[in-house]
Amino acid sequence: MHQSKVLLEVQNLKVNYRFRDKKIRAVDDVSFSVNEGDRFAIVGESGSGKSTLGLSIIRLCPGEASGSVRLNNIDILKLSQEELRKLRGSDISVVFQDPNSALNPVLRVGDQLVEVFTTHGYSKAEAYSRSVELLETVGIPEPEKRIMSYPHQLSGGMKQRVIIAMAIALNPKLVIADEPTSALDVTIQAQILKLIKELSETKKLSMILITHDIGVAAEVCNQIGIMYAGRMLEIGAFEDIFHNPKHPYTQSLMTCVPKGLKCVLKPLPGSVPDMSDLPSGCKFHPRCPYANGKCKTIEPKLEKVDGRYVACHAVW
Amino acid sequence: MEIVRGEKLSKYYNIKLTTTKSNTLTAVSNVDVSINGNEIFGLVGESGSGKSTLGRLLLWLEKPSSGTVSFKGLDLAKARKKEVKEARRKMQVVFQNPDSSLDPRMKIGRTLLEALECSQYTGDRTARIKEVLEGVGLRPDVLDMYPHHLSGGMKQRVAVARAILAEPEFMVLDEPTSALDVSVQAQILNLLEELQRKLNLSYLFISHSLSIVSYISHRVGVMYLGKLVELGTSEEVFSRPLHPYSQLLISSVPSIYLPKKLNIPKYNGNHEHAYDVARGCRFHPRCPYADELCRAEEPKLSGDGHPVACHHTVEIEKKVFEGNA
Repeated sequence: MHQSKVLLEVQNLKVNYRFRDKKIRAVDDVSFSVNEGDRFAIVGESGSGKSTLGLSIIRLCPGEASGSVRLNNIDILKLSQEELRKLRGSDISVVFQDPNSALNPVLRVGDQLVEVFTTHGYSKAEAYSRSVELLETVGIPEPEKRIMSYPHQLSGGMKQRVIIAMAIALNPKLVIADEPTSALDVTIQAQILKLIKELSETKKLSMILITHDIGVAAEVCNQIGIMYAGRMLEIGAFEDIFHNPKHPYTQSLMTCVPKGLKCVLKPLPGSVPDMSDLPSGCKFHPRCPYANGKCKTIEPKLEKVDGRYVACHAVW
Repeated sequence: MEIVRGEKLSKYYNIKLTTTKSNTLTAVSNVDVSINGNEIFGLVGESGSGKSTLGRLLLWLEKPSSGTVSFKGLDLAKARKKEVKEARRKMQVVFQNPDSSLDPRMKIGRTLLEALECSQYTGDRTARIKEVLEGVGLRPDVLDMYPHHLSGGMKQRVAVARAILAEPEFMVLDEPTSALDVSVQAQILNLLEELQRKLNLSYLFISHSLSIVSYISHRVGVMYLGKLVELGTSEEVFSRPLHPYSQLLISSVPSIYLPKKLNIPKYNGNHEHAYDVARGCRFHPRCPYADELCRAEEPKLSGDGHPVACHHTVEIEKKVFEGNA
């Protein structure tokens, strides 16, 4: 694969929440980078910190973040509120899971779309014509008519298309999509994933796709990071990790989803750990079939194995 | 042997728009379905297709607007109250979200005891509850806990245990794993499969997830806007779907879950609403193969073994599978 430029570099990112006098570290010491043109999937179960990680990149997360998040060598965590406002929308934008709560129900979708342009210095007329164009780009039929609709007049898939239109309005470098299809039916999901992939290719957008569904990641992404208990356990090219997972957790993720008609499910014992009461050492050791004494005491670091990064003592 | 049968089942709801205006929503429309003993019957379809309503009709949780439901040959509309009660004990349900199906203010022990009291169990109740708990993979110390003490997977196990305690013969599983994480989902699926084999149960397994349904089901029904449009073994429906809607559904699943080689054209539009269903075949506004016949006449579910409700099954089968066989 050709070497392309690093767009986003996350280093030692930690995010803490305060919860009833308790400090919960939702993201612990995560480092990864996204190259230009990459579509990077963050995959994990609920509570693994994937949304916290994704939203902390653009500081939309209420937790306290430390470490560094560099977009083209600008540290986002150090920006002032004013600089951050300029960056959001024009350099990085977000697509949320539920289109019903991401759109304002009392404003026409056109007004909401036009607003994206006017806040970033476009004239009203230009904003309008660009909005119509955008709706067409995301596959909404009769955009001149639809621009006058209220969100409730559109179906879930249409609403998500509008959200995507907003996200790509100002040609950002990076789009963070947080479970963009989890609220949608499977046929609509397929349409939206196809749209996301096409847009990313034609507009040379980089993406971070946060999802619990490795199948969704497979449809869109070329890079993947597996999260568990606030840590990245395995990072690398999607094909490598999907066909030859190295971390025991990744391996078990691949065997606990039904694939095809005649398959055997091998579920993991136990469930996701409580983030306020994490086990010592490797956070996965209580559920891991290969755990040994070292795993119980020393937390493994990400190390390069076979072209990808894995955090496991037992990997060979 | 057939255990549950629904004949010409329909269910309409009146949705009040204003005080004077109302709209009729057709949730289930003229569906014939029968589920055999020892069988897992999977029901797939998008949200609003009437899967859950059909499940509730078969459980007699809701009375159909027209049509009949019979449980082991007993027509529930004509049966005596006592017979209905007994039949309903033998039909249990597990819902999607254990947080709303378990009473948050009841300890697990009481929840389970209440279920046992409905059955005619005469032996040692505590021993029976512990036995069932063990069967679903829980330790007896959960009996003293409240639902909020348990994880999502454990709560779903309690919900399964509660259903099993009534000694059912037929169970409706309405999206039983949709609220769970993938690693826990696999545990529950394996548990349900194991229980089905051990206790000779029949399931109606409702899910929007095609990969899960294809994994667990013996037979599968595909629903679209209140109609069954295709019926067949899991193998038939998923390897060789014949209805254009089934083909659309199956080709929409991320390819790692269901490897498929369908050669399908572009479809129009989105899932429609059940308020004003199209005349003729209700799928025709979205169907790339639709012609005059489809707009005029509603196709019936017909064909032996693997029935499909479509006027053009033969041509479509040729187009979609030719060259890929």
